[in-house]
Amino acid sequence: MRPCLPVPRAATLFVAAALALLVADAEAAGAVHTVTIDGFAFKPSTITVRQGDTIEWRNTDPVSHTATAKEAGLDSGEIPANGTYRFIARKKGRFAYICTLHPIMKGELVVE
Amino acid sequence: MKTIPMALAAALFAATFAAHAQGGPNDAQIAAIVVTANQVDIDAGKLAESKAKHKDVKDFGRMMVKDHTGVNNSAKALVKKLHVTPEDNPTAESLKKGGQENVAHLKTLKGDAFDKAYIDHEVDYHQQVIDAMDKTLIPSAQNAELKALLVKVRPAFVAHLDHAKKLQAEYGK
Repeated sequence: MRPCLPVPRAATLFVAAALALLVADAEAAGAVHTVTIDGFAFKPSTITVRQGDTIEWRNTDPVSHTATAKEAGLDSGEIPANGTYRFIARKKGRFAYICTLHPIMKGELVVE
Repeated sequence: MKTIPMALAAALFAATFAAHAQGGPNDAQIAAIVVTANQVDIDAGKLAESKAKHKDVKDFGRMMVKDHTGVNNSAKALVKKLHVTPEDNPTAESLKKGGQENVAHLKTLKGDAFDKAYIDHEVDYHQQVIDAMDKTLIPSAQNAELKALLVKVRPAFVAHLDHAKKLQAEYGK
């Protein structure tokens, strides 16, 4: 007869490890900031965050938009109507960004 | 030569809007005007997608199809929610007729002539729709949600006008 594996103990350890990773990940992720895309404008037009923070763009317009600043590593691709896009600000600096589909739309991302 | 039908269409369009402005269209008529205005530009955009010579004019046409379809979908959803049946009226009719004439005219052109005529028309058209929104449609809308939708989509026309003017500087007038 094969020895019984201590399955419950292994499972407990696994869950504990996974939880620890999740907590560590959440702490590392920083704050979450929201930019609303409304009426072909980024609101607020300038957003200031700390390095490691997350910015979420929420498109409330009936058409697709992008949030793009190659210099900041920001390239959302098309955010569809009622869609969202999340970006972690890893690079410090002041970055002008635009909607590449509608370049009249301009915003600024400040990462401190 | 080519600008005559366009100028005439623009004048007729403006005159119909002005006539409507005196009494002001009701919400059902505004709904019909909005849906028709978008559809007209979708039709011209589809043609530009396939016929334009320059890539950026083709891309602009593609964007017109996409954006105005999006705007129309939200307008149609609101109309359904409000249980409003779009009501035909002289302004919507004039828009439709002008759009058909524009597409018929564009179909006779190709190459640079097509790009120029398409972009010139897009500049005039978006300017007229913005004027109509400001002077007639937004002030006349009674339902708060309909008014809010018009205000929300107005910047789409402004962005398109800005983009079209940039292309016009290159390929148009």
